[in-house]
Amino acid sequence: MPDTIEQYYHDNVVTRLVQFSVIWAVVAMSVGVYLAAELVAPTLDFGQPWLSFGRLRPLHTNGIIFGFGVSALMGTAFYSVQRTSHVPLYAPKLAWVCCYGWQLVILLGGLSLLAGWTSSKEYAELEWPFDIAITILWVGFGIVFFGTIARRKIKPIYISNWFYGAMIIVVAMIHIVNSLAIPVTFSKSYSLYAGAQDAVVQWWYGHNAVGFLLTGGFLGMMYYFLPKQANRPLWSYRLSVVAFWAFTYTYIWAGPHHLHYNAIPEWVQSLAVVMSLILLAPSWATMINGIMTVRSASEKLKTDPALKFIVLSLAFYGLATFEGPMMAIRSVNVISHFTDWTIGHVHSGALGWNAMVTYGTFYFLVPRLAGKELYSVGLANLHFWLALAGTMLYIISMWAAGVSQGLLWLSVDEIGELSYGFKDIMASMVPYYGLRLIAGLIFLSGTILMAYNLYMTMKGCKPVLVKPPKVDPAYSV
Amino acid sequence: MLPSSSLTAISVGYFLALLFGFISTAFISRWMATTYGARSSLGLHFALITIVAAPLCVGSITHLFPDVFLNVLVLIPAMIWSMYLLYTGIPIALEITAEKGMLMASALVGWLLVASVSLLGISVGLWTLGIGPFLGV
Repeated sequence: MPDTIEQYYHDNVVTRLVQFSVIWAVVAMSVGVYLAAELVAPTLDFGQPWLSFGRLRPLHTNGIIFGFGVSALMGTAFYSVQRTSHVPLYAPKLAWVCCYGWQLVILLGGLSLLAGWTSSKEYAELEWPFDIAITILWVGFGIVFFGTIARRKIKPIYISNWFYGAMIIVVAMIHIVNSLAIPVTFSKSYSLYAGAQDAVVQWWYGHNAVGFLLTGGFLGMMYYFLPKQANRPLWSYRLSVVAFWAFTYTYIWAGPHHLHYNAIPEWVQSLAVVMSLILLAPSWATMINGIMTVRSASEKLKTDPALKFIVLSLAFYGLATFEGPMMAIRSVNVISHFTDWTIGHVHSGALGWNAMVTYGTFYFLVPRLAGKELYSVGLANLHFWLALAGTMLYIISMWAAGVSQGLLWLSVDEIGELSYGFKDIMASMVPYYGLRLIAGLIFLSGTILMAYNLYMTMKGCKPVLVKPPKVDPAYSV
Repeated sequence: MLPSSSLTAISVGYFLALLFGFISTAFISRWMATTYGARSSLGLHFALITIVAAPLCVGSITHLFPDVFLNVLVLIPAMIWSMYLLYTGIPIALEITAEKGMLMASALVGWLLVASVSLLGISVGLWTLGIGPFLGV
């Protein structure tokens, strides 16, 4: 039978998604650095509403989570689901629609945020027309992904697909439920929920977006690309399956820990604390599984700069998944809530875990997609140290700033009056914010180095055509 | 300014935490050594952690001058120096390859990060319970 294009894996769409992801990383991290600069020198908004903190901040978070994060997840999910199913993508045209449609939504959505359109729901700021577009594209992503699994030639469904699949299902569910709203005009809608109910739904969404997208989705990435890079099977496949179900069952309850001491039932808060603490077990099971998988593959580090990013990302994953449950405990949360400690916690996850595991994956993936060696291993090694230094400085400055804020805000004198004014406390934050700005610049410069390195690797390359290998009859469907 | 009795209690508490951190890190380092095929004599691991922690410990003298700018100026380079010693020191002291050293150092960084954030969490928990600064909680 002659070869046809349909017999090859569809990797062009993967390449394009990786390229978009890198572009969004540079853009959205630059916005983050600008925001950090505004907190040191507030006049940097030049009196322009679209440059104000309130508008740039959601641009930064949406750009990172949905631009950088989702593009990377979509690309790596398309890449790995083909390899683990031994078939090319199902509905490749739909995959292209998802790829470009998603970028259009992020671009226009970003502009709408700058224009001041907002639902005012954190991490779900985009207004209703975008919410509908996101739903349609996300369902398209699900059709391509699950369609590929349904056509698979190999019987077992590999663990990375369970994580990617859980991400697709849960994100669809929480996005649709949380975004239900009554449109008033094209640019304004009102949420279907009110008061405390709105808060519970919002943080059920917010926490599970972190849980199933930023944790579950990226765990899918880790579970496929780490054993690939290490050229070793997972240390314990059984542990990964146990961790998956424990993670999926537990995470969904933890959202109300964002609402301690608020007007929601106390038992809801307590349940969230208990579930958050239990969550440590599956999180660390995954971390240990990753570390033990890579332990005997140290010789790969000699030639492959990608692996060390993933190894370090596991350390920060361990930190973030320990810190989170700790901050969910009420007596810690009373100090940490509303302070920069939370920002530090988020970034130990976002920079240390999400970005690092993605960078490691890109350094592995792009040379394979381009059919060439990485342009510069030296630049990638330099990027590793910049990423490590940037992340460490960022979280340390935010720990210091956050604990100071928590203590100073709550300090009272002998007669029970607040000891310090809010304005004075914020003015004393300048050294920490300055350090955070430097940390952000260091991290961003590493990302720009990667963008250049990957661009030079891909420049002028022809797409590599890969055919699914023959399936071992013992595992064939 | 806190009363001197509080300051003494906090100083003693943190010194004990520092000692615990030092000793536990040496033991954890030895525990990890078997995974990476490194030398596992406890004295060696104590020596390693002593050298790695030296810049930070000496640098922390700046805490006597409670000025944030000064502390940042001294402690950030000290921290970078400590990290450098950790990554370069492990392969030399424990006689393993640089690559295995990189893996083990990253695993130890994981432990150190968790330990530091635990110290924050424990301090904050104690403050909320009424030990330490007087807070309106």
